Amino acid sequence: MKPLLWEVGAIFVRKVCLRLMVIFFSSCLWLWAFPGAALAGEGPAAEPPQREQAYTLANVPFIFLENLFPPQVATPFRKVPGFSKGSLTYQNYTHFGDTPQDKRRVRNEYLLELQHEFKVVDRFRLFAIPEFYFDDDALGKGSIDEPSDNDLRRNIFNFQEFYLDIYFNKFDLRLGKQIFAWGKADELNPTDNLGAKDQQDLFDDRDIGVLAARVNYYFGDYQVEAAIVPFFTPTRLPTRNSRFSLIPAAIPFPRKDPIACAQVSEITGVEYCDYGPSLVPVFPPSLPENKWRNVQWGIRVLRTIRGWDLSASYYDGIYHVPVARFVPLAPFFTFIGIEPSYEGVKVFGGDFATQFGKLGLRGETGYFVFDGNMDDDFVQYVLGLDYTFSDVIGDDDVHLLLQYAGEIVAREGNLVIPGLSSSIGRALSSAITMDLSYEFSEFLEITLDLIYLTDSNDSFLLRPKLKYEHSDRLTLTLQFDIPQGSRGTFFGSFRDSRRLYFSMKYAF
Amino acid sequence: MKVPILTFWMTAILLALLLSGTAAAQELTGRQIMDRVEMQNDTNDETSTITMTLINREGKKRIREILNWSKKIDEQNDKRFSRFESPSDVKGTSVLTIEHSDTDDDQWLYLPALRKVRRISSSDKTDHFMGSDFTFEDIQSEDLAHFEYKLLRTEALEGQDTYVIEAMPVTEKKLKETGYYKRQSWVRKDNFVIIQTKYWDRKGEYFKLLRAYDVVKLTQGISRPNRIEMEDLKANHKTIIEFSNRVINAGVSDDVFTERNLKTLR
Repeated sequence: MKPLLWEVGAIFVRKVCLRLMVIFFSSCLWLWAFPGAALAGEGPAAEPPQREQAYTLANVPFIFLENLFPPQVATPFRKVPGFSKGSLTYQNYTHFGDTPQDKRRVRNEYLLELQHEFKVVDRFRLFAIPEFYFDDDALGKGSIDEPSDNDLRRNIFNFQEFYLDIYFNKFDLRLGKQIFAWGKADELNPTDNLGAKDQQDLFDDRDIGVLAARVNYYFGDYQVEAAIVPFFTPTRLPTRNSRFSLIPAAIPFPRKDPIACAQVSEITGVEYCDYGPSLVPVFPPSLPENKWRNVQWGIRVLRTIRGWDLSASYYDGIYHVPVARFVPLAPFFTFIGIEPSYEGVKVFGGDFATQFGKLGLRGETGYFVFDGNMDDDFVQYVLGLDYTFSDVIGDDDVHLLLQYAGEIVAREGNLVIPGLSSSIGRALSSAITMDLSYEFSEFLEITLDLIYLTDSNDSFLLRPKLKYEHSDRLTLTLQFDIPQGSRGTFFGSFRDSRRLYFSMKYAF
Repeated sequence: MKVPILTFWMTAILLALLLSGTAAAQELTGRQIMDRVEMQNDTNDETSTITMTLINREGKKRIREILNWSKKIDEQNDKRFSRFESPSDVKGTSVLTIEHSDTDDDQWLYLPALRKVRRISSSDKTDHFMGSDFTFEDIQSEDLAHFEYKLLRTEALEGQDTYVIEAMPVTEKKLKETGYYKRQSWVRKDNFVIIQTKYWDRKGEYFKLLRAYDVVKLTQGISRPNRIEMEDLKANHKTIIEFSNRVINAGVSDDVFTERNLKTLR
């Protein structure tokens, strides 16, 4: 077996160096096409003349990068009516190991995001974020072609958001595809159930916009927000052949579990544990039908009282992660399969945020009551604090965010197969999360993120990150994702997916 | 009748002495000058666009364009609303601050990328404002009761007659929270606008210099500079703030200073 360093080195040479060469030659081309573009800044010229940008040998790579994205790149987009801002991002994920189902170690992504705002008439504003996504690992495919974004893969062309805002005297109305972000905690928001997430890459999830009508009504010190989501959009799970896959093609039947045996015997009409096959196929999740009874809605009331931001919320809809249930396998009804399905849920929630000097406190909770008796009813909660240590070294600050996420099971369900909801939706049932960031300067920031699962002793995800803002336009990020733990634990099961992440974002 | 020449000169000298004594009595004290300076800031509301340029020791620049609204709550407190217009990666980021005398200020931040309004913790007076060379102490209105102001001298600066005022913190509260041992400010005699301030750190070392340019009269009794430069001489870092579209006392609505306005771009 080749040493790990050799493997990583080979990947680096094959995948990264080649691209750097492309970048280098492209830069030369840009320098030739737009001489002096690297020196030309955007925005008004400012004093003082006695200070000039120092160009040293260390700056050379950045001059190339800047020239990859000279200001002229944005010109065609700026001409589009309503253009507000945009960004072009290149991301590279280099994993240090294979997984049984996925031998691909490197993924490159390119993302173009454009934001447009149109003031149609007074009080009417149209807002759109079209995005173009490309990758070399088939995470993206096709383009958006139906109201809800429930494809198994991301779309190459999509609208992150696309909505109309109408402003009245006392309330605002938002109609269209939109992203919800309820709750005051980080990492885990028990009250945020109206929207969905793309978790194809478990360590880099993204929000998915959903088609909705939302109204925000303001009276006195109160704000009431209500929303209705007619079509269900599930959490986008990792595909079956990916390294983060959570849905295997088949699982061994738990023959020694009497509850499972009884359940399956009831479905099939035979003593399954004596006669049935030992391996049970797992089907792709089945989506709820688009019917009135599956419409999701939520409401929350917000108020600030004496320095405390408070809210209470209610959600009635469908849980975004499926649970696994046995179903008969047609046409052989004596055989069974496992079909992940989406359960109805009601969530009673609340959150708060306040501060005492430089210490910020926040909390959020949600009581999940499921329809039927398959899944557990549980209370999820998050308590956190943040604090900024000023002038730690010179004028540089250190910012700390510390949270504890916990869960209390109010009623145990009859689920005998570990559900997907347990592995994703409830992964942080007892966890400490930490975000420690230190700004070396206005250009350089180092961050250390940690998610430590306290109920499994050794399972954690550690993410050191270095972010360098070369200019107002160009940001570079280097990050390690280090999942650790024994194989049976949540992060331990992704130990082979330790990786290096690099991104380059050009904003215009 | 002829006046003897000696008597004439004696009388003239006496008169001159008397007049100069009267003039000295009419000269303003340091505190009185600062009262006049603070009157410049006594507006009900104000809106402006600022372009903030940060220049580091290598000469690297970062430019931010920010829309600002402020409104007086009472004699001690203001409410402020700021929205970033550029650079593009922070465009739409907004900050709402409601000052309180007896408790911590309420402050909320809206980040468009997160689609969330977040309460943020208070800052120390010595913390830097938006990464600039200005501290929160520099940008907030000054409570004169916490300082002793001494008129050092009068002198011409940039072609303007100025008072040179030294300010030293005297109350226990201010001694604890200030980042400065003392300040010296050059106040224009004609309009009571500060056009230069030198700052000494708590160790007594001179380290920061503020200069104001292009002073314009906005309304009767209120003049403001259109350009302010603050240089941290130790860090070799500089911030330039340029004002445009400045309007005062136009009756800014209370609706500006709400969470609703943070997340909508009306």
